[in-house]
Amino acid sequence: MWAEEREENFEPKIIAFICNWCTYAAADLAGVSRIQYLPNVRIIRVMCSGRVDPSFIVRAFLEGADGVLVSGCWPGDCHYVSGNEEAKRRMDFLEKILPMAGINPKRFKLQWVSASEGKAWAESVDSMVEQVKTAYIEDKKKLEGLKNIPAATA
Amino acid sequence: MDKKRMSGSVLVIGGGIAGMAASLDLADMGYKTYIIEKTPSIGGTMSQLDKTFPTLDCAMCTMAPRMVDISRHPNIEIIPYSVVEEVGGDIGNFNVKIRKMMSRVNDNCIGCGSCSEVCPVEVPNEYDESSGIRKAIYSPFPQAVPKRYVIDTEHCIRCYKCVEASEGKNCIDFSIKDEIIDLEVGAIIAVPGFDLWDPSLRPELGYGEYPNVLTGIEFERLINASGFTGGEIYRSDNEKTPKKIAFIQCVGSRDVKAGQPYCSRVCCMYAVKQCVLVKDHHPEIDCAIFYMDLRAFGKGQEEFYNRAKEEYGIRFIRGNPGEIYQAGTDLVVRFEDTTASEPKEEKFDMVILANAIKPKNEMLADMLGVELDEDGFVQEQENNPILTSRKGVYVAGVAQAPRDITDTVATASGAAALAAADLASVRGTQAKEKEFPPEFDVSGQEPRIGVFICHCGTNIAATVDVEEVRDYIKTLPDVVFCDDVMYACAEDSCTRIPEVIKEYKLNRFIVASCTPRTHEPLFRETCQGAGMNPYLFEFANIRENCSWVHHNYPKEATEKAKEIIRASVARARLLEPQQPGKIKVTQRAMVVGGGVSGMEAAYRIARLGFEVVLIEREKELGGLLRRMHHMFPDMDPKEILDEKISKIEGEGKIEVHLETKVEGLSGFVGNFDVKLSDGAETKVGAIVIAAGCDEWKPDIYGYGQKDVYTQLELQELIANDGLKDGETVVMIQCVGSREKESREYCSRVCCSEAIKNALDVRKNYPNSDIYILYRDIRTFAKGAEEMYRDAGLNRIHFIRYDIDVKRPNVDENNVVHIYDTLLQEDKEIKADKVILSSATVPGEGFEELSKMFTLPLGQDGFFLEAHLKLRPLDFTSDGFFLCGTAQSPKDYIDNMAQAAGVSARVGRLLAKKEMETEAAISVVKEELCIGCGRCTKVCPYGAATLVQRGFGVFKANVNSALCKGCGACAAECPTGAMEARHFNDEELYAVIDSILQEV
Repeated sequence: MWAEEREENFEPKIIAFICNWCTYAAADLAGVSRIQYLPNVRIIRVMCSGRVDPSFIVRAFLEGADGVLVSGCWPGDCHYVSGNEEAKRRMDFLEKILPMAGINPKRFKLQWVSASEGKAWAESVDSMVEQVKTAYIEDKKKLEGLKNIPAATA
Repeated sequence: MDKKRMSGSVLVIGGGIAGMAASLDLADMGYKTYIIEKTPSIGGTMSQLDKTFPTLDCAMCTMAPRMVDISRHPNIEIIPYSVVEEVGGDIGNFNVKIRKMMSRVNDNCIGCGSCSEVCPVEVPNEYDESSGIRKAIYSPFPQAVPKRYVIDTEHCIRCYKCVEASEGKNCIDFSIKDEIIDLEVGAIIAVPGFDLWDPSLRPELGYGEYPNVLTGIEFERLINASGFTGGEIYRSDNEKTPKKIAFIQCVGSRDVKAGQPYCSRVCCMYAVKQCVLVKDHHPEIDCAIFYMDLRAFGKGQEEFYNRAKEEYGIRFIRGNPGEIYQAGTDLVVRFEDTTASEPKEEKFDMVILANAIKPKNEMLADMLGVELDEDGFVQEQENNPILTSRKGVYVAGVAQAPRDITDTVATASGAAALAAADLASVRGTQAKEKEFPPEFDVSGQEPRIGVFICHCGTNIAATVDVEEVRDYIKTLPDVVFCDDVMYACAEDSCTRIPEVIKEYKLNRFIVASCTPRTHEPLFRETCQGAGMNPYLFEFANIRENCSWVHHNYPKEATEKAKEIIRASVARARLLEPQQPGKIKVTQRAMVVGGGVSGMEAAYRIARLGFEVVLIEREKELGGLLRRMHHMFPDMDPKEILDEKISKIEGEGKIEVHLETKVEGLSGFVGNFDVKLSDGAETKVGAIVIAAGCDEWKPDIYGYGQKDVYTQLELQELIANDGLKDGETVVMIQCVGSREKESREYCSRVCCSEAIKNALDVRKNYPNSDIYILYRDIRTFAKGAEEMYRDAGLNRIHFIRYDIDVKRPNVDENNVVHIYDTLLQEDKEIKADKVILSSATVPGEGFEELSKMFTLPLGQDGFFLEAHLKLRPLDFTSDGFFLCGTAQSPKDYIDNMAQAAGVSARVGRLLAKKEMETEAAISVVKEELCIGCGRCTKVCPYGAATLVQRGFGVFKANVNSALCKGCGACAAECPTGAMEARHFNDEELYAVIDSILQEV
């Protein structure tokens, strides 16, 4: 399990799939305004959040990502009309099956950030880092709980 | 005018940002454009700036790509280090004599700089406002365009060391003399820029006497990372970082005695910006701004001012210092804090003077015979700031009045439009197409990747250890070439890219620097110059996504930069060439909004030779102008309206639809299909949003009570003689504007509007008592400050209030209660008429339009332009433009400038019959497609359809003209048949894997 492989006080690595028009612009704005945020995030730019195939997220978790953030334009603001709605539909579904695969859903987040929300982008990264750390503590506890179960059949 | 002899070329005199913007528009519209510049490089004042207010964009970062664009444009010829000697002829064919000053360096110069290194002569560097030094053979700054050295013959001692150092290149030639060249051009755009007033003419401020009293531009060079201290702020006498810095506003501006009665318009904001930049570097430095009225009137400026006050703790002191003297190492500022009525002294260790902007129009007057006003600025004609008294000669930027970059760029595009309209019949006669060498084939080749890692001055290098990153990237497989550069976007770097591509036989190229959103086109084109398909270029953003946002984590940022570039390398290996399609452009525009801005925009586009559909939702054209009776400074709106309407009718190319809205829009840039509510359907290539704003209906200060009016209602009242002589008229400013909770922005026009109306009341009702209750008087526009002074002389009483101290109040008897912050006392005024300077608010149609066209609105509710400084008239979405109050509140003259400007932006697009479409679109691998049709359901453009390939066999198909490359279909496809080109699954998996790879 993921929590087992991480040391205490680890710095989570977060992959962020963000759309070119809103969230990437917000990240640019955060940069231009020098709004500081945690360096844990790695941005992968796609043209639209609707391009984000759930398999990308699965791949990221498989390859060892601690968290995955998907971000695009607010509903109604999509540069491609409705790509973000498609993203929402897919991500809602993904969120449901993540626990089945043993992945704490707290390690995943879908967040709308518009082009004028540089600060919101920075905050969303920082809060994601926190959220993943919380997931770690939860999973660690779960793990210990599992270990403490008396081995009945042995 | 003899049409046969008209020249299809334009001369732009001045290579600052105005000249650059005008040239690019003209050249793209199909006119041969010459830029003549007195110094060795284009760039002007903006190239000296660190960041620009209020967005704090790095000035060089936004302008350098344009400088490179200019240097590469087939229709632009830069004539540097030259002056105009003589102008003859007339509109359509001016004959211009130009003196190329002897630079003693010829065309063989490659800008290597080895000559400068050995030159023993050190001269104060003009680029650093004489603070730093340069050599006698020099290039003015690192990003200079052209990157050609010149010898300053005045200081050269003829030691010929440079000639020795240039060994065999034959680039330095002391026999070169001044050269006279003759040009024939059809029109002239003069953008001479400005001078600054010498503050030593106010000796009490100690400029020139005390070394730590600097001017604003000198301080700009001091804090600039590219400046002579590398951005370190220290005092020149003891090299210590100052602890306290005073900024003094209105030094020579708003000062009749000094000779500049006008407001210089930019100083308040640049002082605020400089304070914020100081605080960013050194939060411990105390910054105080001494001001008379804080003029944060432009888009985003009030918000910026509030941030400076609240987040950065910058002190704003209302008072104009009378004296500065030195005591020990301190500078003592004597001033009166007007909100406490007491003289004070405070010690600082650095003082920055915001000295006045002065016109630099001698050449315009002497050589072009253009009429100037009494201050020496160009006398505008027909209330249009671009028109001069000489036909075929246009101005932009500060030539007509002080202006910030946003307004300068709008006037520059406007000047380009007006010049282009004169020469519409000869458009394209002297233009050339951009040509690239044939593309080399990369199929079947192993990847050979080249990487440039940019320092961006210190923007990246101060946080990220660029050398370490470079050394790491060099070790990655397939990376054949990797180097670090000071500025990847500067011309010298962009010249090197094709060279290294050839030298190392590269078939992929990566630049690791800033954001692809601004710089990708530049680098793609640069790669094309070497015959590389532009889609084989990959961008790694290590500035906005890394160095700028992780100041406090240099180690992590360096690691992150490595990973970002490593992921780019992984993707680059898989990149494939892409080819754009070609689509026809409908050479016709639609303007939405029939107010003055929309009418003017439509007229100007028509003058460029294109048909226009103008739609207005009301019964008649005119918009807000119809509710006005007298406009600042002294215009008759009825007259203007009649004239505009008759121009539109007379033009013949403009189709007007009244009481009409847009009901449906489909298509894309160059090919929009528009459905109008009157049943008409039409095809246009470009769409201009010129919808206007409204006056807010206040719900405060007793509005709704008898005798409480807005300024627009007052105009009506004056026109209908609705006042009585002897009444007390109390005007309240900033009603609903500059309020953090509702509308944080300044409505920009109300101060001038109120004062003009107050003077009208005074004229018609000489015995009235008139009060204007204000927070800051923001009379920045040409003639406005003079009018403000006039108001004082005409017994109009100004009372200052401060909402942070106490809000004024209008009770039910129309008694106005106000705390006068300058006399520090409460006052009550029984008003016969209360006039509210109500906020300018986004038009009620803005949201609907925003949804209809999927165009963004900013937080203030106005439309959001592509870039506040350099692209104020474009949307980020291709084919959409904006002007006038759709963008932010502004007065008639600024609206005219924007309307003319937007026509040039539209003209650039419509000038071509054909344009290229997106190359990175979706394609179907039919062998994998099962014909489920899910792609057709998610495609928002109807680009994906099912086609029958046999009996019961359906396959997906993508219409390349409609596909925009969003990739939603590829994510939806269950079999992987749909491939989103340039963002395909393999590339994205490679990126994910590379980021997460264990090292």
